Amino acid sequence: MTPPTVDRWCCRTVELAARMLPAEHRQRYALEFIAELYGMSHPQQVSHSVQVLSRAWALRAALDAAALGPIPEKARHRTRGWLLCHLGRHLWALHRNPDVGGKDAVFELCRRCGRERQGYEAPPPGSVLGG
Amino acid sequence: MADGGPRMTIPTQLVLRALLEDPTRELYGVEVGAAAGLPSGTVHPILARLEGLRWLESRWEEIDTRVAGRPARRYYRLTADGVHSARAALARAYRPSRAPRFRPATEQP
Repeated sequence: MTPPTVDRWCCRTVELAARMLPAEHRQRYALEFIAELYGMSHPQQVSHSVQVLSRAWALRAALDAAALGPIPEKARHRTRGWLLCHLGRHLWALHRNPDVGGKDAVFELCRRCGRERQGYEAPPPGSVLGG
Repeated sequence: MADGGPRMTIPTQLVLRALLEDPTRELYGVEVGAAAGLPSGTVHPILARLEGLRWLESRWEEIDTRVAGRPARRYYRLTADGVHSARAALARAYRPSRAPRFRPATEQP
């Protein structure tokens, strides 16, 4: 039985992919990628090695994220909320200033970032559904 | 999404489903790709993310490389916690498609 052969260039390609990873993971993934090439036909080796190389940055990002640990759900919401407010997509809610009477007492306040908006105009009577 | 769980993208769901078919079975990267129906070289980022969350564990194959004529492979398997978390995450990720809305045709007078 002839021993399985691996294309030299495919080996180089997956080694290059492993070189793009954080230093502590390089050796492990280089060995893992090369071991996976065994048992594949030559076209499969080429396809596999190119795909491994094309996904090397995604793998690096995944390894970096794993090193940082999971992002808590609260932090995710905070980040998304900050971004939305930064883009002007505030979450307005009506508030009333008890010190001021009349129409000027009503103002809008963003529930996420606390920004205030003056000049709230109440909808005319009869314009709301069922009114 | 669970607190700290992975983003349940379609490829992540496919990988988890493939691993959940037999949680005790160990698969190496190419086998995971084949079982999930994904290109063989694209599963490693997903496996790394799941391993980082301790949903997966991996180990080197214990073989005599001279006898086998090839290097040892890295095998992946779901952890006990990973099995529960993966099942729960897949159940949450499942969104039944909306039933088609049939509206009776209204006749114009």
